[in-house]
Amino acid sequence: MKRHQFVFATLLSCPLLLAALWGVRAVAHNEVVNWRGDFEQARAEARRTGKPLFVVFR
Amino acid sequence: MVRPDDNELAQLLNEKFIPVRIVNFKGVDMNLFQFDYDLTFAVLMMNANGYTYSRFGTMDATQTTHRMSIAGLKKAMRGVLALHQQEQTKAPPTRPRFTLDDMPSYRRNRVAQEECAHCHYANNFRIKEWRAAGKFTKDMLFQYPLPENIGITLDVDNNNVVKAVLPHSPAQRAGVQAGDVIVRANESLVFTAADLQFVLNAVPDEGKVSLQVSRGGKVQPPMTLPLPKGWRKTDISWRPSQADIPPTVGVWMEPLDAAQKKQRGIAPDRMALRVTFLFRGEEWVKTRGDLQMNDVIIGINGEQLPHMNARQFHAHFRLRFNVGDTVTLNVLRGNQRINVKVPCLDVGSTL
Repeated sequence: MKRHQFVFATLLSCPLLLAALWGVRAVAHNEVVNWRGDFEQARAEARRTGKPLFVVFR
Repeated sequence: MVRPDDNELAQLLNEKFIPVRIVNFKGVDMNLFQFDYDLTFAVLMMNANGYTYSRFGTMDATQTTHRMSIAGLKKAMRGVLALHQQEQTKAPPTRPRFTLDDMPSYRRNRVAQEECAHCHYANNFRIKEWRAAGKFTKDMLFQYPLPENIGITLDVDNNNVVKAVLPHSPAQRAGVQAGDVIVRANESLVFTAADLQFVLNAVPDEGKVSLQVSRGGKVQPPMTLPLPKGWRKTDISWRPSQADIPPTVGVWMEPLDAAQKKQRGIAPDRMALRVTFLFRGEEWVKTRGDLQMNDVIIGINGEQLPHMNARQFHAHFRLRFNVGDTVTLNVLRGNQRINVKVPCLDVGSTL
């Protein structure tokens, strides 16, 4: 991957930039998503709570 | 990817799902997480057994995000929640773990020493493995065909709702209509464009796909769409996985704008790419022949090509030519039209 492609991909991977690209405003008081970083722990939690998993790859 | 002022989305994520963010592809099981690895953003909604209900996220060569919307994402999430009530015990077929480390070409590569791995490495190194085994063909680069490849444009906010059917396409011939809701492709449920692309990805050239639609609230009998040779082909210039395939001319370019083209007597819809960067390194020098900074490439082997950017030029070049070929680039240098011969070489990978 060339340098500028890498920079572009890196920028796109930023959640806030994606939000901006989708034409949205950041409002400080809004709910924050409680992202899990460990899939296996999240999987165990999904099993325990009966909820589905929402797995995002950036 | 979450709009901070969209409480509905945040609540869906926090209250109805277990949200997980994976930012490092190292150790990720590609047999569990199957999606288009070239994407910079992809979502899998699955149950605790690892059964994937739906995928979200799609891209093309024109823009990064115009095929996705928050409305579409929320709609897909609601669809998954309804399905989850019935299918939370469903499990995917058992397959052994398969990670980047299972590929020798990755293990040997310097990037294996880095802390973080990008998702697109999955494609880059799978392609390296296929090439090393002599199993690679350039047709393999046409991954995850777009719905348009079978003649369907989907509604971005409504995911699986057909917005338009392209004339004389497989979809039109099979009877798909605007307003239809695609509920199933082959055996798989379809919530999103990415779900349809996942099914299409497994369909070979000169293959067929079965679509089942809901029309006016009534599920229709499945329709079979025969897909002709070449149906998978599309503009793949945005894909990181194709950028490693030789041959490449070792320059970067910027397209001339309409005024610059007019000044040089070039039609606005024709390719005109000004060389703005020469790749560094001895190995790249030979790949560009006598090509120089500010040269404007206006054709290949005497053929004028449609307007394109540098990425599209490189993709076109590597799909059309093979290592060992010699290609003549038609070039404007100042006011002179000249031909520059470039050899098609394999200078190794950037990865």
